[in-house]
Amino acid sequence: MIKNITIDSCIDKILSQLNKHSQIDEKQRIVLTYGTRIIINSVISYSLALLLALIIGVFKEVLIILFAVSILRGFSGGAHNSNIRNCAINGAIISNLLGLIVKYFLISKATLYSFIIVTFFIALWAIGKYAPADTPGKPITTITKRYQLKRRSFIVLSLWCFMCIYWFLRIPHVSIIIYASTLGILWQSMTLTKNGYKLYNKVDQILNLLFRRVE
Amino acid sequence: MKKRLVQLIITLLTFAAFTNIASASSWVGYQPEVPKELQN
Repeated sequence: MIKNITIDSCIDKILSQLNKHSQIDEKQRIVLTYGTRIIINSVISYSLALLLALIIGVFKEVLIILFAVSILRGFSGGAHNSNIRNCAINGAIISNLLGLIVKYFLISKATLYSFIIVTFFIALWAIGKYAPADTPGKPITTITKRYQLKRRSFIVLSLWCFMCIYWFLRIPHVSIIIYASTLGILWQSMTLTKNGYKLYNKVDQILNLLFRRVE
Repeated sequence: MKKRLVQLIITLLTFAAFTNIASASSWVGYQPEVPKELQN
């Protein structure tokens, strides 16, 4: 509750500053409040994940994972936690765990190639069956929009697949970009499924319990 | 100069809001509830 008030007060301060120099009507205020909230949420989540990555030495890997997850998530949707705190912590932990796998669990080119194929088919199935996976705060109600987002998710997956094929044909060694993005795509595909939603709910419960104890 | 900067910030915030509305969910982090005025 305190954290929500802090974010809300930040938004109010930013908007009052903008209002001093430019006339903002009520409709514009709603749009700007929402835009500011999105930016603040994104900055908190990216910063926490990248700060942790910087500390444990997997910055590059985590940056690539976040990039891959973010692009696909924008079109395919997926599970979210119930508040900004849990979402930021959950995202930071998962992306850094995946980053550690990329850095310390070295694999051969043939193994990575097999892993890419498995990931591609899992993502294809998950997008085909569940995308766009919406959240209660942002339901996707129209069939046209659902179709459009699903199609764009397939396009993102295809572009990633082309990038992997190019890597396989042209580059002789294992690329961090390919390895990290594969894990990112796999994780993002998992968050689309029913089990992904169940897992996020479980993490939510655990984090809420932990923070209640701390408070 | 300051007014131009304010206009730029307003443009960026509006862009962020509408990009999020057009997408399935936020690209990273928490997805806040979309205001009723922006749902359709």
